[in-house]
Amino acid sequence: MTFQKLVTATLCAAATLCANPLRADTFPTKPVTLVVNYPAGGGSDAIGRALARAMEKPLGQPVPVENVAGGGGTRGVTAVVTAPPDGYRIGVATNSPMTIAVHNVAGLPWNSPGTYEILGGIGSMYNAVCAQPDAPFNTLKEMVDYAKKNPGQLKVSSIKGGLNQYTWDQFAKAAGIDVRFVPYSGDADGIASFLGKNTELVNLTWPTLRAQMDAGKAKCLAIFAPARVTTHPDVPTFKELGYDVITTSDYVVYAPKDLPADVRKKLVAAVETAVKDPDFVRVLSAQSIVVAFQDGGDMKTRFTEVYDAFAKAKGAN
Amino acid sequence: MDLLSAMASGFLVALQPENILAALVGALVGTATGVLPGLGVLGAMAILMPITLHLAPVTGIIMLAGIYYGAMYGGSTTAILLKIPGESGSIVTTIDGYEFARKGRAGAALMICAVGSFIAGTVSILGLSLFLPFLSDAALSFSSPEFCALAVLGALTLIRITGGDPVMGMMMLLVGMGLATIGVDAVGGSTRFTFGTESLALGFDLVPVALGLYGMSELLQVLQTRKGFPKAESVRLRDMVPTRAEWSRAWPAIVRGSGIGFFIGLLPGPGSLTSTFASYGIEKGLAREHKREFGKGAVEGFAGPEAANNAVATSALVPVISLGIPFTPNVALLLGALIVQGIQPGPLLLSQRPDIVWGLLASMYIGNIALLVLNLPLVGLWVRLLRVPQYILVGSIFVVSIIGVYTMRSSMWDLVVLFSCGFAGFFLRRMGFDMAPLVLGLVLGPIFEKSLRETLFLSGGDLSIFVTRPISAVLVGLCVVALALPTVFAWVKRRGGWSKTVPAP
Repeated sequence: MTFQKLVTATLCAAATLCANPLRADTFPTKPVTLVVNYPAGGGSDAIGRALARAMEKPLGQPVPVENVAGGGGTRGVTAVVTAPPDGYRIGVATNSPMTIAVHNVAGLPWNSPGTYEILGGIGSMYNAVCAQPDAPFNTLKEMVDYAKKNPGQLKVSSIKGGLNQYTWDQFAKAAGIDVRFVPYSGDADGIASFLGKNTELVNLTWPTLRAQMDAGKAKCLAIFAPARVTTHPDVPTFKELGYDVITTSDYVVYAPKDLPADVRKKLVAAVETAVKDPDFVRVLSAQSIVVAFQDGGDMKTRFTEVYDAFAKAKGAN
Repeated sequence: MDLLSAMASGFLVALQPENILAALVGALVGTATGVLPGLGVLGAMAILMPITLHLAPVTGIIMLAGIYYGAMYGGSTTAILLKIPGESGSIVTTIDGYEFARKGRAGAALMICAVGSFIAGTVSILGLSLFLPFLSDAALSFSSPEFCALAVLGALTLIRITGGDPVMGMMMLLVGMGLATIGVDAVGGSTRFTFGTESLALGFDLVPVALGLYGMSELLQVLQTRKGFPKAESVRLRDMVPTRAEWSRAWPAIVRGSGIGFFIGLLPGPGSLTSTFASYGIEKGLAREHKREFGKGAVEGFAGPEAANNAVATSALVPVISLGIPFTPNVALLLGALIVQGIQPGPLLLSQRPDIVWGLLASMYIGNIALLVLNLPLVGLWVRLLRVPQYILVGSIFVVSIIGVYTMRSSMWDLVVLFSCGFAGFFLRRMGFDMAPLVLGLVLGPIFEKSLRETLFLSGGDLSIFVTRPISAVLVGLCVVALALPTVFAWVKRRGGWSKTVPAP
């Protein structure tokens, strides 16, 4: 009996030892799950599904999407980070849960960008500021002058707590203006309030504002992007107008920490290939997301900056 | 004339074979998702969305929209037969629809719902095609202060919706509102009342709560009392057709429900649920000779709400089509499907891609007819479901509910909520508490809190904003009336005045 057990144990151990290098050569041998940290049907979900399909070819395995929503997006990250680091469970997310919401949710088994592995960035989205078409100002400078003459009179629709407020506060501080910040829970509510003429200004994501601007229901003052967008070259950036503020919502693909080096390499290669996939580019471009592969290390540096800024802001309160 | 030619061009698009097929597939899948408790419309749409990428944009969106409104047809089935809401829009149907079925009229109830859904769907598509540009502006004149006042008015008027003791109703409403505060706060994004646990941060989602309070507790009741589900007495067509008396009570309710649903669908929030509560409240308020039947199987009590949730499914498309703003996750997915195809939704969609907008609207006429044709013969099949031996039926419902709730967000916590609500509902009902105010509180609580906070951000903390905006002022006035009326009536009654004409408050 004991002998039998011993043999079984040895065989098992041998099998495991053999299996390890074997798996390294052939990863992945089974489907790789891609976790999306928002419910099915949103913008993140569309991106996740497009990415999953684009990664299937380079990986040679199906990539099912799992929606793990809740906790301001942090729950999905938890589901990935706590998985075994074998590469069979990865996730796609924006920087919002990882750098901002993370400070608001207690008891997370992860925190700073060092506690998980970023495989790479896949695209970025920017915010912009628009005004009512009949507003008494046409440029950002005129708006700032108006706001200085009428302190506390202007209102801006936006979203509380996240990147939106962070960017707006930075800009308002640099410009020295006092504008009432009216927070909504999402782009839909924020733009509806603006279109209902409840606020003079709106600070939301570019794709949302662009649609209204094209219809003449808003005039765009400036965009928080590093450079002008190609489709609307007449919209200036905050940077060129003298405010060094950039908001990026960066979409990244990430995995649990301590992935085996070869598995990581394969996954990164698959992400890089997926980002060039025409269908994938189409889905992201339609949402006005700038698609480009960005190195995981660089993304980690950027995430850490924002993470630290919010940790500091939280501590100051 | 312009409208007619637009509509005609829409039908040219919708009548293409692949688009008819898409509408049929969507309607079929939608009915199935509606029938299966827990499996949400959103899930089904998300699963099918990648398939639509390979279709023409208009074909894809016709299919997804079919799932969306098709589910409203199916949702009533289990609500009526088994007291299990297939979708959140069918919660109210469980009250009178189930009791009606208990009287051996399950087939008639299902037929009334199918026809009611068809009428509501068709009426609201007509309204949508006629008034599309005007409606979007009307919807925008409702903002946070108006929602806040509307939520209060809703709570005040619907609290006694299913009768019973007003104090007990208020208690349940407050419990519901309290439960809604647990989890992530919609305005600030911070977590509340979670005791540092990740589970509580997920909060109490409507689906497991409603499925627990109604479905699970009913199953426990069935097991405990052995009274069983309604009996399918006859599945002969003649016995399943509603009687003339039933029809004459159903159709005014259907017409009113369509109107209410159409209006509520234009506004943000979980319209399919709130519209059913509103419809039920109005039907009960208007009822005269049949008032006592409410809660015991009144035809109006399910015909109206079922029409309302179908009208919502259509009118909720208005903000999406005319403004590019999705107010519910379901229509957000429709929007997503357009975006993925490289079509920019927004105010310009109607002028830039009339083929898509009018094609979609025309396909909905076709889809609704298809759903009626599909659902009427199915009635016989569904009623036969009641002939399945109880031990198989109860077990299967447990399994389907658990799977449905779990797949929603892959969370064990939702199952904990499902079962705790099942037991809580079982005991609370035995103590004479009514579950509807609790569900209402869970829905209205977050709307009230969010819109109140947004309003105060907007006004800088000034409460006068509620009375300086015309629409909100009217709603606040109605709230005061709703609060004062019962007291006034009670006073008049005590004095013995108006002896005959006093309507019950």
